[in-house]
Amino acid sequence: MVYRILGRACAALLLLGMTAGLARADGILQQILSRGTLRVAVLPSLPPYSKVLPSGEPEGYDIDIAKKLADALKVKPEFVVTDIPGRITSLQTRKVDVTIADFTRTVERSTTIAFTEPYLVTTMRLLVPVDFKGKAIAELGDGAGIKIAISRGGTAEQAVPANLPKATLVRFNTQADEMSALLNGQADAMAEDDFYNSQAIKDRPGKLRQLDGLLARAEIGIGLPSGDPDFLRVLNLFVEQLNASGNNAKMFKQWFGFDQPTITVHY
Amino acid sequence: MNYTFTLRTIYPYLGELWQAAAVTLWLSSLAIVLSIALGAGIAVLRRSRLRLLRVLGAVYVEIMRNTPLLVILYVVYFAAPAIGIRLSSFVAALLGLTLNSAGYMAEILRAGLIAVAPGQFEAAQSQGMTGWQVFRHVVFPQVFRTIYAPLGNQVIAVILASSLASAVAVEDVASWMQTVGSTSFRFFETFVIAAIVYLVLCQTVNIARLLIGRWLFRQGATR
Repeated sequence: MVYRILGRACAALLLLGMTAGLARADGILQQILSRGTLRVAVLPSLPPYSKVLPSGEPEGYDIDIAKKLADALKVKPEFVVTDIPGRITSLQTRKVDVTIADFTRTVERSTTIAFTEPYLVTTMRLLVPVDFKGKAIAELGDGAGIKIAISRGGTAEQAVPANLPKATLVRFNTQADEMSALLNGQADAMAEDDFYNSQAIKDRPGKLRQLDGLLARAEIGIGLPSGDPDFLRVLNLFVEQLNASGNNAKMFKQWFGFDQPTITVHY
Repeated sequence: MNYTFTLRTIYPYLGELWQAAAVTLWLSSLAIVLSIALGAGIAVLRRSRLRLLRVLGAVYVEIMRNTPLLVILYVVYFAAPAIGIRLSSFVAALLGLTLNSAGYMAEILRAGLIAVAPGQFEAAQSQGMTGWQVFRHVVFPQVFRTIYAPLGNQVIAVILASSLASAVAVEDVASWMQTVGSTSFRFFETFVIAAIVYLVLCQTVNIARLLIGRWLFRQGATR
């Protein structure tokens, strides 16, 4: 009798294990729908894209996009606050379903994770102290003798040398460190996207300004694990409708305080 | 996990890795030599007859052993320009590492000095030895033997700690790891390669230390 019960229990467990195995083989989309939550990797301090409030709740433009996406999928968002490497590795290890964290897409990067169509297009510009000599990037020549703070491995790695081949790159891990270097004179300029720069100028009245001219344009998309075209299809549809409906532009204006630049490109 | 570990993708970045390893090695070597010199001075201060000097030595050691190296690096690189001291990334990192390591070196050297019994100084002097002779033939051989193993540990600690220098824009192995990881999104590959580089650097030092120790202290135990 005891053995029979044990036997049935074992069989039941085995069956459960098999269904669990089947569930694991499901696509990401099915996992999200079964779980009822969308796990989103976000950055803790990149306002106005995202920041974590003292209460532990994240807020910002990227956070609102994540909430819209969860709404559209009829699930709850679950935020996973991470760092620069974590935005990628948490996708690669499937700890999160998507990363919404000011993600610039490139072909090289897209061999490790997948990107949606862009929900934002940014332009990289130079942020300088107000007393900097010169008004435009074009006046800097080959950039000799100018120290430019950049994010390690970011878009600026190629963009700055392409425009200012003789400029010295000073690499930092976080934007906060780049800003310290700029304010303390350890760097003459800082290469960041103009949305970040606008906010930085607003936050430090009378200290900073932007130089005229662009270094590069960057397409910001949602990141997802590679190898799941079905999930990518759904996310792309979400992004397209977010852009087309005007909801994206509305959220952008709310967080950045000015109109969203056009996302589409004319070739 | 849905990820294919592909070392091949990192090959284009390996050229910069050798340069980065050279920076790590150069920075740590300089910091080790300078911190031994500074540490020796502080160890001597801590054994001074003057109470004030002893207190100063102790205060230095406690500050350096109780503040994170990262904070010291930030102070030297980001905060010092406010009072007119502007150091390059490399010099700032070297200074921070040296100041920090000297705190530990001082204690290692002080332990070595304590290990020489006071009677030996008196005995050596009574033999008519000069100050230098006492140091060369009595003190130094014993101090060196006592501190040899902990000194080796501190050398490795400095090499590993030098990875924090990337926070103040030094282009070392840790910087290479972050830069290539962020460029290619292949952090797993770059983490593993950086770990191997540090492991090889430190094990080379460790094995050299064991071999040199075996040769130097042929009669005694070296570990």
